[in-house]
Amino acid sequence: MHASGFDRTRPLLLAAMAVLALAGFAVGHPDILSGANFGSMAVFGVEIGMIALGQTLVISGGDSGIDLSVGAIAGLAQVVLGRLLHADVTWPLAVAVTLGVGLGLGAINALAVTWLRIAPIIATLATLFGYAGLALVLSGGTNIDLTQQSSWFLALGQGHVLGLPFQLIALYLPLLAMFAFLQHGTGYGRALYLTGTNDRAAALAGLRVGRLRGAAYVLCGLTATIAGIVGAARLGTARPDAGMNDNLISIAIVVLGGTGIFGGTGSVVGTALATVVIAIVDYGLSYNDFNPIYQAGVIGVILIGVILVENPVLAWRARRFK
Amino acid sequence: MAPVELKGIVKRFGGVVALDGVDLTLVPGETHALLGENGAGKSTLIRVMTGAIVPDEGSITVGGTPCRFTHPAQASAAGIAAVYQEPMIYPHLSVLENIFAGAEMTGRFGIVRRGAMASVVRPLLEQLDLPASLLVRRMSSLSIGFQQMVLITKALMLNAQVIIFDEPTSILSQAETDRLFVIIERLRRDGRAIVYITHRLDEIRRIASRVTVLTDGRVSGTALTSDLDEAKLLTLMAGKASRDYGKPLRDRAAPAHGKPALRITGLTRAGLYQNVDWDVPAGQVTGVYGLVGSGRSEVALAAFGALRPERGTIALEGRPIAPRDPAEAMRLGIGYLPEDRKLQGIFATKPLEANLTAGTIGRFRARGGRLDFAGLRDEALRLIGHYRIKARDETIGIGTLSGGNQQKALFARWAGQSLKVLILDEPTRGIDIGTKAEIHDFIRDLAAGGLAVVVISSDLPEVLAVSDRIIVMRRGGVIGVAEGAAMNAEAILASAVGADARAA
Repeated sequence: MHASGFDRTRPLLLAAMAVLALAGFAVGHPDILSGANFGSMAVFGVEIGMIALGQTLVISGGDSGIDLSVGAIAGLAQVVLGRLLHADVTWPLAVAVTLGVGLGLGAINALAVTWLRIAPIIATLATLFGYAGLALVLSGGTNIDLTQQSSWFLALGQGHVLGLPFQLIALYLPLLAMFAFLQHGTGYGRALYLTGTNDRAAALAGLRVGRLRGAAYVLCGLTATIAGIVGAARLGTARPDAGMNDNLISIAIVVLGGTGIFGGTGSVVGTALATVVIAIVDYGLSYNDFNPIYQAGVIGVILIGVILVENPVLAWRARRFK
Repeated sequence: MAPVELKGIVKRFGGVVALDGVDLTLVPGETHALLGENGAGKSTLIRVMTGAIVPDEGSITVGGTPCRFTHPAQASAAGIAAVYQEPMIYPHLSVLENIFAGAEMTGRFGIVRRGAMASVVRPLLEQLDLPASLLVRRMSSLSIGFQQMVLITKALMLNAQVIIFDEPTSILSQAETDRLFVIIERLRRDGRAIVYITHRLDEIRRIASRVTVLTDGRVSGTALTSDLDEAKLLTLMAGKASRDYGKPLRDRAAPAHGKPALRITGLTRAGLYQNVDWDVPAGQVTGVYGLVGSGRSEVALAAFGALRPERGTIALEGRPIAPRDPAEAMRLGIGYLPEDRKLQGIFATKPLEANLTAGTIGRFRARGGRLDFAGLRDEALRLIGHYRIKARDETIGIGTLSGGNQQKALFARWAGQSLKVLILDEPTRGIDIGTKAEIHDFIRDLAAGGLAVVVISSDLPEVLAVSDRIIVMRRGGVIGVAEGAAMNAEAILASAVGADARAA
């Protein structure tokens, strides 16, 4: 057992799955293994992957921690950004203000859960509707065109660094590194794991349980906002309903990545690997011309499949190390 | 009510014979102790009596009528009820709902009649000296001692004539045990037949008039307690030693008053404690003795910032304080080792190191906000060494350690910090005697080092062994402070259980 609750079984399983899925798709279309396709997969996975990083912290903090409003935050962030850009605010300032708004939206979730003590699933369900409604009001229910904006801004979602997508190299991977450090290398990460494991014991050991969990919701709001900004830059459009699919998929990815739904376990590294699996499978299915309606079902099948494969593996390991 | 008779009860599980022709007669107004080692068949026998399992052979007669229980409801209809060691309860339901679970009183359209149920139970609660306000409490919010009381209430509500107690005291403190015994004695005098299962010899003498010993599924002897001396009982029990409660009392002069470290004055929170005064000097161990529900832990939690008081003052070294949470109380210099190791203490799946350092993580910061992992490890190893925690290494999950070592680790978590006041709530509950003695020595060491130590315990010998002064609490109030020669077991016990006031 590692001090941080990190377990190797799930990451290895996910890595194997990613390779297997890729190999499977390559049988039908060998050209899926091209650099351009990997780039497209990355672009597809980065936004939901960022959201899942924040979601990992929230869920691992325990007490049924969950943030259902992440997609709504991403959509509202896009609309706020679009309105600011259309009001001729310079794009760096607009992005900065949007990030600030995103932190605020996360803070509302944090207060609802830790201060008002509303169950997370209810609190964030309420803010999901609240934020999504606000996005519709602010946008007048229509998409906001951003294609005429600064090419520097659009590069956030369309640029390349060293031949790889900008948002992967300059945003997602640094964020992943930061979150991994936060979780496994800092006192905050340690305290959040302890809180997720036993919040009564944590409070009586002098940990500020409410602040620790609250910070996770704020960070989750931040990652959802960054994902929304990247998405708007990628498509050149701010859509009020941009992230509506991300609410539940981000949770599925976190769980697939090995974070226990009861808190106190898991790692953003597992979450990142799960994001890779989902990105490959989703991209591979559309590349092989499967009907997109199958894609949602496939995520469910993968989720159950991993559990079914993992249980015998864990049992075998338990026997071996007894 | 006529006697219950079990004759020739046989029960096999696969090839294993759990009960091999057991005869047992239960007489109204008699407490019948059932003795036996683990695996002797005691539990199986109870499950036969309560209808949880059907015997392969043999007969049960209640008042001369043969009965065949195939379902627990039939046994309870025949007037047989059981109170288990760890009460089987519905934790999320109220006490009232637990008492009537499966036997709700309903009116027209099957609507539950709470008022009627409450009025049936209230006199029963009174008989057991329990407050009526208990009925609306959630079962999970009660201690095990109280949960057992609820089950006894349920047995009375069902008008049970035979009440079986299955090692009820094994996780109770001495004081809780004493109260339970008073109640069992009352039930017996009312003409009920009591079956009392235990492996503690000292309890049998106190409570039972007849003893039956089970060995390997057979009755190896039945006798009146009065005919048995210690030696005979011990032989019957096949060398089972009883726990030694008679620890010699330390001869201690009344201590000179140290500098007051923690002073609590007039602390009140309605329903939990009223007008509590605690005076806790530095360099001494102050014992707080009281039964379950005496408000002792709640007062401690108030000083620790975990449960806000309504009135009264808490002063630390002369300055009034009002900690809003444990973190603030810790910064002020107050520590609290919680009562319930599993629920409030350990992080079961986490390594020993993380458990030992949970309260001090903030101090281990290296460059760039990184945790000082080497420092954490060194601190953990220091505590493991100093407090002699038996563990393979500091990375092992604390949940895999023995209860005694888990408790030592929690103790070390607090004792290793520099504090002004350390409150220890049941510091040795449920751990072996050797570890207990070790922890007592550590407690004395802490006080000798100048710390103000409070030891809350319902284990009287423990309080007497470690304390310089003893505060006695009952029903949310302080009813006495004993020092020096006044620290006398009988007097303290009598005031804590209220025997002097009730004068039976």
